[in-house]
Amino acid sequence: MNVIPAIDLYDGHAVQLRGGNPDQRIWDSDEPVEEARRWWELGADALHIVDLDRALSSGRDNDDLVHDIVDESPVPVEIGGGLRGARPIRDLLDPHPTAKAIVATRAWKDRPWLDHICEEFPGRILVGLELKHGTIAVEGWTERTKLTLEEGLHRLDGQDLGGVLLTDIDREGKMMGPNIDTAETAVEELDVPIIASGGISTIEHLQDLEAAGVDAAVVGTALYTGDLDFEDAQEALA
Amino acid sequence: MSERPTVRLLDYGVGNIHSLTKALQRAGLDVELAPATDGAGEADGLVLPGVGAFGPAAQALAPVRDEIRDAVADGLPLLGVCLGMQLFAEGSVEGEGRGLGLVDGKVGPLDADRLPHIGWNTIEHARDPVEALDDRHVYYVHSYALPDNPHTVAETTYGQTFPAIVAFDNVIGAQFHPEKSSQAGRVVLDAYANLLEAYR
Repeated sequence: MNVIPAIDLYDGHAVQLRGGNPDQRIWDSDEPVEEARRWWELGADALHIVDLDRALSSGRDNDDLVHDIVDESPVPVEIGGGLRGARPIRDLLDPHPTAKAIVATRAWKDRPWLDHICEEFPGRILVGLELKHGTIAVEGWTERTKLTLEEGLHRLDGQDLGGVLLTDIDREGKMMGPNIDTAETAVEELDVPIIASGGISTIEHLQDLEAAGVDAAVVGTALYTGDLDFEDAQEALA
Repeated sequence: MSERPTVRLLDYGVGNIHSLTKALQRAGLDVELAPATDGAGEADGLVLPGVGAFGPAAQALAPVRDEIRDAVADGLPLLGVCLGMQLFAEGSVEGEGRGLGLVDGKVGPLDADRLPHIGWNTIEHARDPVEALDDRHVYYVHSYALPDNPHTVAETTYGQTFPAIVAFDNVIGAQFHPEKSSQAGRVVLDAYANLLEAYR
């Protein structure tokens, strides 16, 4: 299993937020490109970038920074946060053949659009499936749909996806550990890579996910607080 | 055509084989799980999954190696995924033990700066029975690959060009994970399902 460091961008900085709240910063760096470089130099096989400004509709974006990181990165980068139209996705994916785009809100609200974008970029769209109290949440976690995990997975069956990014919102940024049951269900129901995120903070969490058949784990907070050492984590996994 | 074929999926005792099981079921096959030491059995086909390392898997298969070879020579449709395909070779630099010897030569490490090769990569030079995969992306997790061999029907490049799919007679193998490769993966599983029909 792959450990993918998360780089969350906010107002030109790389940050880690508590509970997605920009006023509660656990960690902050004004050199995001250097932070990204640190991860691939330590042997990361992929990077996970979220533009929090886009996700939170702050009126800003970090597109230039994202392009700078992806241009320099020797490893594939998956990019998400507020991607709701075909144009910003094309702007990200066309110049960067190994990059992938994460879509969430529009993927769940507009099925024909998801069909279309998956056809345009086969294998390069990751769908963010964000669970809150048992149903899929959208709009930066502020709105819940009626879709359960199983219904959501069923809807994605047969799409030409690059993977599903499974986030348990109740655990995100709180280092409570991943929800192994939901990960197992996703692994069994879909024939695409399953990427777990949210609350992963120990080597044991990673090993549990690996045993469940999960393909990659996005780790943010724990890597930046030092609770989890990246190289130790890589070593502990097959 | 009326009954779903049953394939035996051999478990070497390491790693997760749930997603391959489910993918085979979605491709219209019934799956029976068996410890590797149980050998080929009576199912319509045999599947070697892609988890773990060459040495332990070859060791688990050693008592039934000849039985599997004979069954495959008699027309038992065989699918190998990732390590499962590497077990088609005579051996591997990765670990001790004999492969099935269906493909000449030894499995070797990829000549790349960064290993494992993990993530999506492109299929090149795809030909029958998987020509539909040309230029498609498939999902890889591996550090070793089969040597060049005449059974190669698709390739991928990562540091070096290596066999992505081999197919001959009643045998097909993929170095990538069809069970993680969405619609592209289905092409391989469907080709295997066709073998099961053809060799019924």
